[in-house]
Amino acid sequence: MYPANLLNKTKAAVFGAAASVTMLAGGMVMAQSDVNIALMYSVGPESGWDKVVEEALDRVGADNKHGLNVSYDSKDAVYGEEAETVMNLLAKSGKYDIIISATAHSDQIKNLQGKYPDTMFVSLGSGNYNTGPNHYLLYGRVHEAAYLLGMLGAGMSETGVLGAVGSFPADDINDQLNAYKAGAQAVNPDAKVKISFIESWYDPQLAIEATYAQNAAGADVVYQLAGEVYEACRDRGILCFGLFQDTNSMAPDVVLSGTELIWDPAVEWVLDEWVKAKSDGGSFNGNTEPVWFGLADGGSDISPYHDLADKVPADLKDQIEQAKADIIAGTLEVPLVLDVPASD
Amino acid sequence: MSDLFQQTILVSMFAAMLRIAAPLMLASIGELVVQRSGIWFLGVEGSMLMSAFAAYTAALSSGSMYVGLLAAVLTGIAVHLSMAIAAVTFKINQFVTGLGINLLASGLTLFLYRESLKSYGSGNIPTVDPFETVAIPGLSRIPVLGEILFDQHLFTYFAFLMVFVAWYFLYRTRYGLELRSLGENPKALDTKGLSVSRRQYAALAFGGFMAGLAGAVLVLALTDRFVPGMTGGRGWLAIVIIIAGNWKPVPIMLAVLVFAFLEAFQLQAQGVGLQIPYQLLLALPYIVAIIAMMGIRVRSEQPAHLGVPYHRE
Repeated sequence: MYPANLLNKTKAAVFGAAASVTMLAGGMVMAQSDVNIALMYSVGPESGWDKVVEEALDRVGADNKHGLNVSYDSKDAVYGEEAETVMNLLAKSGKYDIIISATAHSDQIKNLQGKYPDTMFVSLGSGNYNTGPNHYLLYGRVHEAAYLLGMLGAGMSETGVLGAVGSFPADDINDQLNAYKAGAQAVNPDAKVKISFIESWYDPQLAIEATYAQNAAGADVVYQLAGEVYEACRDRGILCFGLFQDTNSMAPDVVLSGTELIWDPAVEWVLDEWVKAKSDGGSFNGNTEPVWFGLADGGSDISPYHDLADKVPADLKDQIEQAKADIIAGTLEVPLVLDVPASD
Repeated sequence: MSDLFQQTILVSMFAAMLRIAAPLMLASIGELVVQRSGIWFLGVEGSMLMSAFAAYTAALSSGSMYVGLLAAVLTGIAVHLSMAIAAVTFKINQFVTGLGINLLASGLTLFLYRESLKSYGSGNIPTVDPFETVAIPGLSRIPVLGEILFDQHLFTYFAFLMVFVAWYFLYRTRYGLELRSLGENPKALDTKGLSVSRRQYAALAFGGFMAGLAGAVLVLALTDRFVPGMTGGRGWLAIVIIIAGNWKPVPIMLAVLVFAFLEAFQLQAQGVGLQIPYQLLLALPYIVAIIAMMGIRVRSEQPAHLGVPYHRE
């Protein structure tokens, strides 16, 4: 078990240079200032959503914030009762201070959080609800970046028709689609946006066929939210956008940009909350409304244009930079709309 | 609704239908021959998945799409032959073995894929350069029909050709007759001195070849890489299609086309922005299959000895 009382006694001194001294005093082999995290995948490292969490953990871990040595183990995606068993074992092992689930595991956490009051549970993404004081909720919102992509798409489209291929109409997909449409219409009020859902997280053939279908209906810029599938874009020579990470290298001729989900501020927030709870007189104080970090906080962005930069007209680039600056300054607010968007 | 009836939309939709049909057709015709020989092989999904992974890995590491194709076909045959060893030689329960193969395939491909992925950074997953479609000279110039039918992948042409090859084989050749009797009454063949197990091995090898192609078409032609679980139930659908097609090649082809059409239709309906519940369209193929199965229940062509191991007395 983690010696919480020891932490309380040594207060903030535990975090920092004094950590090693405490470690020796406590006679423990491991540094007291280690934070061990278990990350439960939603799909796996091949999914952009999971991969960007790992990358943020790597980056934030390297910063040694609060003097903490952050390490994490990634765990396979499991659901239902199996997920509860796995999380129970993770918590029971005493190895992990924080258990992050990258998917909707609130039902499972509900049965576990009371049993392991010293463990911090963190849920990422939609479909979660607070289950107790040691349960924290985070969203990965990239709707502001999606708004900028909509502007870019509408500026680049010759037909005035944009496409978007989604997995499921979950609310952290819908927020992006609605913002994408709003962004497109900010540049071209007559812009149409075709929206399809394939009802699968990963079915590349279906996603590609959905892209062909949208292209036949006039779409010449397509936002790919159901996996990095660019074969139809290459085949038809149309521009595509990626999701959550820079995927330009997978199809440099057609992937113009994409949303980027940067979890760093979220991970830092988790560590802040953990330190707060573990310091003198502190306790867990899980949030009921999910916290998210937008463009202004460095929580999202759009990918660079890479070799396609020359294709984007300078005034369109300026327009997008201006909108980005306005969002960061707070003068432009991208509405957060969670309704299932209608296809035009 | 009128948006759907524009020429470009119709061409797109029916061309998509044929692309979607290709892997289903290959897998179904392979499984038809397997089932006609009396083997209920439920592992088509797993065999396709392993083949798809083999195609991806081999194509990437060798840099040759043809090596990828060969690897897929050999993998399909190997997986199917493992079923032959279990079900034909050792008479192990066919359903359990088939399901076991699916579980093994999904776990093994996930594990191997993750291992291979470790060397690549995020957003930089390697892709293959897929086979291009092959336009048939002359025929592909025919307006509308030519664009739909004659500008497809070689896999698609081959899949349709195999329907008629399978029909000819099953109904017009001695080996086909023997194979069909195998599913109905293996003892009859055995008493004539014809090897039951050798024929079942051959049927499974053919099924593996076709499932291998079905896996390959997904990675090497229709998309550009492997994704865990990418067969997405297509191998299971092949089994449903055989039942819906009443174990006969041409009705199986029609069943594949109905399934593929409904899929293409729902994607195109969403693509043009038709306000209809697409979830209903996604469920339609299965509803149609259930109705078809009810219809054929009374005059089923299902081989009488299907799924029953043959024990020599």
